[in-house]
Amino acid sequence: MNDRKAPNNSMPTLARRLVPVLALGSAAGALVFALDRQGGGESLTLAAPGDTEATSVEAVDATASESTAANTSPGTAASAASTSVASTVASTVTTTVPAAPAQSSGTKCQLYNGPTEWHRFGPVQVQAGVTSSGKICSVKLIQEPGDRRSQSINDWAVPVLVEQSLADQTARVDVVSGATLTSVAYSASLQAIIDAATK
Amino acid sequence: MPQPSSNRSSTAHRVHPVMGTVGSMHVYDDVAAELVEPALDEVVRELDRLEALFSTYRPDSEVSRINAGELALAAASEEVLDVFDACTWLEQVSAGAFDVRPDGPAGAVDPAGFVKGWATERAAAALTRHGLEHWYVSVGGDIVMHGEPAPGARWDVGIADPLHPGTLRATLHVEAGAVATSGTAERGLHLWDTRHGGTAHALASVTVAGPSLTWADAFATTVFVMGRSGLGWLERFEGYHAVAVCLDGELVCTSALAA
Repeated sequence: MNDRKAPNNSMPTLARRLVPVLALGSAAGALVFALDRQGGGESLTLAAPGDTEATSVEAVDATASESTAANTSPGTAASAASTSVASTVASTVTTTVPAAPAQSSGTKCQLYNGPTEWHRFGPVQVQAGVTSSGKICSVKLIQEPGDRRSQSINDWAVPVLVEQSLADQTARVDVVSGATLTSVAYSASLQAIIDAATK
Repeated sequence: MPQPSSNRSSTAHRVHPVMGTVGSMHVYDDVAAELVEPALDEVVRELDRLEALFSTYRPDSEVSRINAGELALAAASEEVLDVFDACTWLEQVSAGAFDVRPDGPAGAVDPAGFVKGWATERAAAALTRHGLEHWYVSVGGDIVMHGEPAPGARWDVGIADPLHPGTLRATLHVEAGAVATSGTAERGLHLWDTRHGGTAHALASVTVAGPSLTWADAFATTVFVMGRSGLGWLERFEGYHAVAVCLDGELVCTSALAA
């Protein structure tokens, strides 16, 4: 984390390149935390550090043929994940994020969705594949900040705009958005009106 | 003057001066005050904490110490680095219209154009942590909304008329999410960017609605600097919509809003 640089004229490219690395690293860390809490069931509820709400993580069988989650001892998975996650993340981000989970010879890659982390550019969620021996076989960002496929953005309906004329100021509103004058007094008075009206 | 929607009233509210303007929190959940008050306390504490971290008016803030050369960026807190990273990204995708060094390349870093929305969104999350579902938090007219003001209702957000203070120019009916406005009152005429068409394309105010207040606020600032051409630039960010008031009072919008 200490290698991030100031966003000055010479550094923006590096800073920009580092952002997904750091975002992924942190989200992967949360995933390791999640795995550490795993009880072996198909679904578990957990709260990552700093997460605003508990997130349900579902174990999804990558091949839909057998479930290896129940066979994986939590301790093994967590410790193996802790040791291998750094190298996995590093190799993942220097290339592109693999679209399909990597398969180790003969072992199934069980996919887990990490908790959605609120990060600098928005929600970040990592999906990791873990083999029955507890090795991480894939790491993939399934929800990226600014992701055009992001649920939260797609589900967000386009606002409806209603124009107001100066002659007609009868609109009933819940709250007012406006450029704040540097004068605190103006803001305070506008807010006081709203507060009094909505009391 | 703006009137509240009928049959809608918050069950608890708080007003708190912060970041050179006024913060206002309204909770619509039907719960006892003793459950809401600690949540509001936490929002206030968090707003104050973040202001203390970023304010360039406070010599002891991290940003002031970075500008004074007393604090290496690498030693800055995670939150300051987060904001600097995000500002760097926005500078790049806006071709410099968004600028974290308002006084030029050699000037001091002032992420104030980014921090207000970011900090408000972050602080408001405390309400969700306390189990509250229906609320809004507004800091100087940058608003994050959660849930509904009344069952089945959208939020009616009035857009202040920058040319006729005290009146509304339009109303946005929005889902839970965010609305932020940037304008001359906030940024000053000198920030109009000649690279993007100069004053001929200048706007009196820009209001951006979207899922995240961090980005609604940052995009509003950026589009305002860009002028009218900024509306086309914003189209690349799915889920974000803008309505701008031109200097002659005309309303112009991004394509989805204009429909």
